Amino acid sequence: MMRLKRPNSPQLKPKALKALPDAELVELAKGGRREAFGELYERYAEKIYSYIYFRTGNHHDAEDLAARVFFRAMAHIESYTERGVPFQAWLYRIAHNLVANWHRDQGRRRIIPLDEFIASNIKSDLPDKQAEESEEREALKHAINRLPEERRQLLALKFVDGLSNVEIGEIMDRTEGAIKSLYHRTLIALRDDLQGSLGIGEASERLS
Amino acid sequence: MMMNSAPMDDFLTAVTDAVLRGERNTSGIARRYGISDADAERIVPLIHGLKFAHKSERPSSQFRRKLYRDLMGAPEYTLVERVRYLPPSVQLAAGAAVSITAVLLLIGRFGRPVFRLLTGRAPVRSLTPISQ
Repeated sequence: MMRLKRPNSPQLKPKALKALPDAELVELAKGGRREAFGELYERYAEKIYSYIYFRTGNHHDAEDLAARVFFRAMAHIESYTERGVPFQAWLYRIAHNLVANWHRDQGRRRIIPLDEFIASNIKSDLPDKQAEESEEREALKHAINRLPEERRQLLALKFVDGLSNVEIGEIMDRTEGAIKSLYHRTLIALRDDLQGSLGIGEASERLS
Repeated sequence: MMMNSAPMDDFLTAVTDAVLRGERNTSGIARRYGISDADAERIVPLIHGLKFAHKSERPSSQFRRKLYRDLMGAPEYTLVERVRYLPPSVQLAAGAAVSITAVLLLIGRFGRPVFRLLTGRAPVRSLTPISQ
């Protein structure tokens, strides 16, 4: 069967789309250009998925929620106006709300898949060392789990997605200074928590 | 924690950015922000641990492709767009077919005047069998 080429409208070739900033792609998407939304999807699919995966702890739910994020964004893109909230922040807010609903619906706490990805990264042949590392991983996992929701979100955005304090502030609706301060307090809380169960300096040195 | 919070806030941001970039030696950053080595050593290993604990997880390429297709859906083209993006030879054939069909329809509808208009000759009358 013959394949149809896509309409060769101006500014909609993939290379041209890649060069456009988010704001222009959003305007094109609002005008019904699906290719423009497709480019936005390509830009943020991985980050949004990573964020959701860390917050849910399994691939199945991460895929389901990531799909819902993008379908919701596409459905509501006409009502999106920038006004200090860049598209990326808007997308993360949708993801955050869906994850929060998911936790509420599931009636369970977030599972951090530390076992899965730490185990694949720590290599040790010594059973004793493995046992120590396992203890440290567990302690860190539990310490993170005990953090309030907004602090876990901050850590995920910073460490999983590598966002700057400004970008995190846009998502969490706070100033850059407030995010810096929250991060500082989060580290202190984690350190104090871990000091109860481990010698954190030693433990973290080994983890790193 | 250790000292007044603004320099420490800035130091923690800078050292975290460095750790996320993969830099191992962060003592220079501590000095730049006036943080003592002892204070830095109390917290920097934890940042390394957090980096390790928050390793990014990528979606499968199969999932990404499928979601892209689902989002984009089937392209919606008008009839003109469909013809416009066909190969030229197919466009020519389609154009010829449409023209011939139109002529035949006109002849069928209006008969001899149209044939005469197109050819300049009167159409040959059909022969009727002579009954014997």
